[in-house]
Amino acid sequence: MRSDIDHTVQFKAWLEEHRGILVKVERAYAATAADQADLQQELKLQLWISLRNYSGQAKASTWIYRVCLNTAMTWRRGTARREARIEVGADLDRTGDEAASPAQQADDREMLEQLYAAIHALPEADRALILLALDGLAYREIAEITGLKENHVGVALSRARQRLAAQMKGVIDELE
Amino acid sequence: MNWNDYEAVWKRQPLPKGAEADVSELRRSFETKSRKLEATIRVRDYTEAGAGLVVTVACGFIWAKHGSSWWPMGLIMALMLGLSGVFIRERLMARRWRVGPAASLLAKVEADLAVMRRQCRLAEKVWLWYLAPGVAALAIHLCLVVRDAAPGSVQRDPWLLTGRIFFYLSVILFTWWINWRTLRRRLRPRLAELEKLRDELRAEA
Repeated sequence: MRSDIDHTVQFKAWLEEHRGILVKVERAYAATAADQADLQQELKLQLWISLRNYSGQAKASTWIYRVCLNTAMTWRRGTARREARIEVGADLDRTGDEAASPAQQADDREMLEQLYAAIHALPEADRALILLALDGLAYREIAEITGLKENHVGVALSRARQRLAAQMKGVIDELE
Repeated sequence: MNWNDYEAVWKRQPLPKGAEADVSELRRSFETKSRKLEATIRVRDYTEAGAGLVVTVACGFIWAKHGSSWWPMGLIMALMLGLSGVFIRERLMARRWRVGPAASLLAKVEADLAVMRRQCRLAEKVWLWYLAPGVAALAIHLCLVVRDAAPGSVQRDPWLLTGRIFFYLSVILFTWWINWRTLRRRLRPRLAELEKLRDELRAEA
């Protein structure tokens, strides 16, 4: 039996190590800063509850991705979110990469804003696939998280990439 | 820009550091969800029980005003009192299921589950215990009004009568729809969530 203390220690260690996953899912599924904070709380709550169910068969990151994506999709359905102005930029300001030059930071920030805006415009399934692919997960891991067959991941991802490219073009045209 | 550019900028994106995990806050968040639902049910029970009693008193006045020939109003009063009784009983049952603040998470989840199962059953059988008495009460009242109306009066106008019946049916159907939607969107998902959590906690214990 795992005690409450073990549970809490493991949960904190996971958050320390995999916080990036939560942040990327928040940015991809919630448009405004308030919604991102709301989704963050929901992601942490579901992870905390579900952690008791983690058997160790899957990699921790794979399992966290699965819980986070399922939670984000349910959260969106349950709360009729509006795709308001994307506020990823404000978040990026607070967490800027100090090692990069200011010009590089500005370029990266602009491109990231465009990328997140395009991701927000994608259908839910594509959004999850793109998120996982951008994070460099293998097809096997993507299949494990999404429930797709491994040999279908490539086809689905290729379509999702095409839609993302079209969305990026639309976003850039809109900005220009 | 192509996929490789996207990947590169994605990997360079700044991410906040640190865990920022406040477990007691998460526990509070779970409990807040339970409390919100409990408060919604409590308000509903008191409102419905109160409304039933007000309608009963109003029916008593109408009966007194029209005299003994309106005795079927007594049936409506009995139906309304019955409905109020259902909600008062719900409150008493909710008190029985309540657990103290020092109870374990499993005990809290079990208590929430009992409440949730009860609410699901009530919503599933809403036709039987809520809508049928309402329909019966409306039908009795309508029959009394039409029976005592003078021939050719507006109360007996077939179009007005049809409109009135249509309005009553619409209200009944709307009430059913609200219950069905709540069952599908809120009660069943919460029940599934609680059952999953209960199973996990039991497996551990």
